[in-house]
Amino acid sequence: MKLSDLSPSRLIKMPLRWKFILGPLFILFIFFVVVIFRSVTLSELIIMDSTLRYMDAEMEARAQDATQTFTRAVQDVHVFRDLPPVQGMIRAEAEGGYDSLGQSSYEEWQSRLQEIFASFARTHGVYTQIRYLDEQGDELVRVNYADGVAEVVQEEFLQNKGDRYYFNEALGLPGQDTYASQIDLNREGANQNIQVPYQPSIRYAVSVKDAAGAPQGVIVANIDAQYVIDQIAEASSNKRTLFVLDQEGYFLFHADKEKEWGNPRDLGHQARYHDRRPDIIDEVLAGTSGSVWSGENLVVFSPIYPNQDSRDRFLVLVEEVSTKTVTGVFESFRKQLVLGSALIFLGVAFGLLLFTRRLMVPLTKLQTVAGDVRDGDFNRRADISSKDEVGVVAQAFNEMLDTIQQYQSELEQKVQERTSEIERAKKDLEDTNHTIVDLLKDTQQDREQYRAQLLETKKFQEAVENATDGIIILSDQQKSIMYANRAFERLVGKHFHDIQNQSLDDLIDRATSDEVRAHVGSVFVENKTVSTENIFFARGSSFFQASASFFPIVKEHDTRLFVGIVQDITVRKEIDKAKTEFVSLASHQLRTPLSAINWYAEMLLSGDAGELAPEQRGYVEEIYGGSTRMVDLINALLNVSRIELGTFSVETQMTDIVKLLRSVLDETKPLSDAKRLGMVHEFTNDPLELKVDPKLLRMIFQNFISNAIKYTPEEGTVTVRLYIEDEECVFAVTDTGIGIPEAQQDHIFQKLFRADNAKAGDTEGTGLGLYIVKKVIDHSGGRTWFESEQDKGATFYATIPLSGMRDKEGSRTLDN
Amino acid sequence: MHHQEITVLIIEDERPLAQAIKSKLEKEGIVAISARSVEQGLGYLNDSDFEKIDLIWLDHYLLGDKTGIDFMAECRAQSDHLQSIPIFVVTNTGSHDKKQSYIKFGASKYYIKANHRLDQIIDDIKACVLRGECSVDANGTPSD
Repeated sequence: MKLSDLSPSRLIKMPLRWKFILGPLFILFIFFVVVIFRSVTLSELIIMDSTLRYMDAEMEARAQDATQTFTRAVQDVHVFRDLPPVQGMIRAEAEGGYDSLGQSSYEEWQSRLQEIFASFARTHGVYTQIRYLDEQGDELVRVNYADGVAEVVQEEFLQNKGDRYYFNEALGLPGQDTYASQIDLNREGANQNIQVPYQPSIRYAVSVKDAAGAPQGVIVANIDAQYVIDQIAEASSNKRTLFVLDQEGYFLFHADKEKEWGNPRDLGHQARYHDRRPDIIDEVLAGTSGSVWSGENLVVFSPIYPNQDSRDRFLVLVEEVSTKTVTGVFESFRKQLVLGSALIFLGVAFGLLLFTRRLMVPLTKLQTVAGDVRDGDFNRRADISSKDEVGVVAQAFNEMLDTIQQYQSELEQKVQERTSEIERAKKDLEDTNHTIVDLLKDTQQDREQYRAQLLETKKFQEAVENATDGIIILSDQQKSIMYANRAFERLVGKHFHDIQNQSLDDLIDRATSDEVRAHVGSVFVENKTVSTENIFFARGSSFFQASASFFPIVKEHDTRLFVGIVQDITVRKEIDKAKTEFVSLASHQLRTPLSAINWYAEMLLSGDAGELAPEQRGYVEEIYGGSTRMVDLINALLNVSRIELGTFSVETQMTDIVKLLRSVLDETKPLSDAKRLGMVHEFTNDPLELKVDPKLLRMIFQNFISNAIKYTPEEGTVTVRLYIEDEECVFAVTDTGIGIPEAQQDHIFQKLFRADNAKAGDTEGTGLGLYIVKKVIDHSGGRTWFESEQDKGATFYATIPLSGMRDKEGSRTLDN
Repeated sequence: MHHQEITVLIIEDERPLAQAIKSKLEKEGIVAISARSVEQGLGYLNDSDFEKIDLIWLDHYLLGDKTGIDFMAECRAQSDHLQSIPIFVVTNTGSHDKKQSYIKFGASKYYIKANHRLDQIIDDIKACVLRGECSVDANGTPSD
């Protein structure tokens, strides 16, 4: 799938703008979550803390008035005791009714005290009773205060309080100590019934002592505890629940009045704080202030001491606050926080939306332009001037487009140039084709016949183009292929325009030896025709053996061209190979039975099977002779086939040919001696080293010499010469033999030819020897000829160039 | 080193020829053992008697798929002792390549049967076994 197949919307999975928006929002979101969580937790703590503090403070405020009243009471009873009338009454009592020190009577003092008490009660308003009791507990002075009226109680209504606990406890106290009683409902009357309406009281008392320090009585003041409690409970809101307890936990103040004064000494219904909060009651009644958070409530409590000096008596002020109240605040705080955050969040989102829109404008522009460019419009440019990375990219993009356009025009220009170049080359090639006229004229003499026709260039061109041999034309430079005809194309399996301008070397397969390559390459250097049958050309992934000739032609302007003619000789080589193998095999098959005949005949003649009778011997000799001749014939035929097939090799080495000649003469000596021929040697004794194939040269020597011996009658002469003349080494054998008839001299070197006089002379011969010699000498670069007159004799010549025999590669050597 | 009695192992598949060779050798007082194939020939050599064999007369084309060249190769690949036995190749194949192969494998002489008399070859055998004149002639190559 190519980029151009996709529309931009398919490519974009997450638009950039979303990334710009969602990214920060996400971060903001995380931030808020963390912050909110932290602040909520923190605020919870803070709120609880501050609630506590607040409540503590409030408690304190509430208790303050009560404490103040109590403190005053403590002070007041001391004041009462220290009033002069008190001592005056004591003195008067002791002096029988008249205080001489104070100059007043008991009644006067008593009356004075009553006034003071009444005045006090009215002024302060918190005392319900102020009394002076003697040491037996009899009330001496009593003032009641209620509803704003202070009433001095007359004597007949004074009671004895000797059995009351507060009297007894206060009487024995040291002078500076103050007794403060528990808080309870006041009891009056002979039956000590609870006074109604209820009158909660705390009694403060001090011991009265005479001048000698003996206890004389007690001053008691009853505090209106209800007043104090009411003071404490003043304006208790209904959000909170306020309780005042005595130190045993019984309610002294409760929203439900029925629950008050449950202490057994009072109403006895025993409603107390234990019922409400059994879990914290011990803490609450411990006598110290504190607070407890538990589940739904915050409970704050604080003791109030009637007498600061005696801390074992106290009231407890308890306030309960439902945590919901507290957390209500807290909840609303939280809600506000969340709401606020959400608003900020939205605000930021909105802001980002607007901001990124601005940001995206240049990018969108760039995207559009890129799309147009992709669709092929290189003229577009991105019109972006923002001073940021996008601007840089846009600028680079524009410059890139400039470059592309520039390259485009350059490319078009180059294409045009190339096209005209190609057209020029094409024209040159056509011109070159025309030059083949001159070429083929020189190579083949046969084409002389067709010259008239061939002058017509077109026909000529066609002829070359359609020739059966592969024809190529190469230029001087790097042997580039300027032209290849159809046959050549077929040979190498490539079209001409695929190999045009390639070097010839590229087509030559590496199976070709370096020597052959160099040999072919020499035509370009030495301007001489070269041919070879050992060159291999590539065709596809393999190669084939070819016969190739290359020759130079020169055009008018002195540029050189070279023509190559190439033939695939694979089949021919295979046929040759098959022929050679057939010949080898056939000769082998022929030799085998002949060997049997030879050896058995040999053994018979040797007498291995018994002495032969003369006639038998004669016959066997004929048999032996016949089969020996057959063997010779086969050997000769084998050589001929090698020569005919061109498969024979010439392997030269530096050889002393004088020595070689001598050894051949030694070999043939028995034959010449048998005919008593005179052998004349006319050659130097010095060694003569030539580059020859010794086996072949030996064969040549043998042939001439054995022929001379064979065809010369007894007592004749054979002269053997070896000399150098005109850069050649000449070997000549002259005999005084039967010679060769003139009519048959032309055929002497032909295969299997024997002249009539040779046949008539009963001599043996295959008729192949001279043929072989001629062929070998021809291939070696020498010449053969003879001179002869019938019945006079003959001289046979063979030359070898002083430069030596030409080497020839072949698969077989010629054998003797 | 050798007994007075020479022993030659002939490896030749043509019966008439093998017979002729054998008779001629025996006429000359030489013991002849004949084999017709490479396997048979190697078999004789690997016998405990093989020390007796003084020379091997080897043809090229033999019975079976293996030729004289295979014989040469396998012979030379075996023990060192076998490598020291001189081998005369006597064949009717004149191929230059084959001759080169035999020489490469260390054949002492190479004869084309049809070109030589039996007594010639036997003289050469005697010269080789009795006098150690086994291989090269004056030109430095095995004759023929």
